[in-house]
Amino acid sequence: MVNKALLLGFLSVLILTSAVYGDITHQLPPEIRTLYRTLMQSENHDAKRAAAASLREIYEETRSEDVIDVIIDLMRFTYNHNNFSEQNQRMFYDDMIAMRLIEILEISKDPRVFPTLIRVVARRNHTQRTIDAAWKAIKAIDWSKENK
Amino acid sequence: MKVKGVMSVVWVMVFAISSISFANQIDPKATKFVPDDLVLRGGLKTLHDQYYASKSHQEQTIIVEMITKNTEPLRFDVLMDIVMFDLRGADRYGQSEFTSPVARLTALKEVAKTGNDKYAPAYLSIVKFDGSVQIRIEASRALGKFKNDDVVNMIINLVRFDLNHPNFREDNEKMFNDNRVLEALVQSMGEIGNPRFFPALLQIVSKRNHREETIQAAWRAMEKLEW
Repeated sequence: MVNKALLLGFLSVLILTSAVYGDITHQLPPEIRTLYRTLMQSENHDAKRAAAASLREIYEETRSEDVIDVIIDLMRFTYNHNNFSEQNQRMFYDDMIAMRLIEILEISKDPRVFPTLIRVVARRNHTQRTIDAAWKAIKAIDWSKENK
Repeated sequence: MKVKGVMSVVWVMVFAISSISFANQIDPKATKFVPDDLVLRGGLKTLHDQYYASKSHQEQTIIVEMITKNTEPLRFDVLMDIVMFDLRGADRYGQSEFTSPVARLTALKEVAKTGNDKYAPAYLSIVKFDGSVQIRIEASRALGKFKNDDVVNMIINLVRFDLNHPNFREDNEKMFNDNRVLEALVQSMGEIGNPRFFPALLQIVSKRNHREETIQAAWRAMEKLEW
């Protein structure tokens, strides 16, 4: 009886989580989707670093808003370790990727990225170098693009 | 089996509560996180929206610090709105967990610098109703810049009725806190210097149902009255 209730509870949490967080992959162009999945799922740091570099190239060429959406999503769910420690190798490498993603946000100057950046500077679960990159990106925001 | 189920629910609750309190811990240096050279020529709407969207007190504190570095004149109204939000949302004891007390205090100090009398009624409401003693004290200090009759009348009422406890006891937390607020308000009365404050100040020094610090502040305020 209790097991059934627990199972039902677990399933409803899963359903709620997917409803809240959603899945942005189905809306993405194939090349961005591949990079997004690499950055989200790959265990290989070099692959992730290459994916971040490709994402930057795509953004510099196309100024695609999809790139920004993908980075906002990644920064929120994948590159946001609550118990961040520089001693943890995986977290440390992830932080290097996070910094590269933030540099793309800086190029965008898009006010939509502000909530993502403020989370980085306030929660301080990144290296100081990444936090400084986030402040640099905040300073670069072009507020004339803000929806009044 | 049932005990196990109950225990897991308890653990989930403990985890949820500890997560909330962890999220709301503020690093005392939070306001120092904002770079000194930051100047924001826009973005007030985004900052405002993000403040209310955020559940992290630390994030709220940093956002308020950023609003103070914004150059739009409307920033003072946004800051005052932040100060007043908790007042309106607080329970009957004035307590609310939604907004950061540090953020509110930073916002209030920035607005107080303007000396704009359109915020005087808000300061009076804070002194009377707010849950945070520190914020009430800051609002009391801010009132020292206003000399108009409406403010003077309201201050007299606060001193004679709202902050006056005939059976004052220092071991009563509410009375003690009210008296700390009163001390700041009495200092502002001295700065305003209106002789109409004299009866209220005399009441403080004669009835002696106050802390010694407040009584001394009342004597000093009396010396400053502009007869």
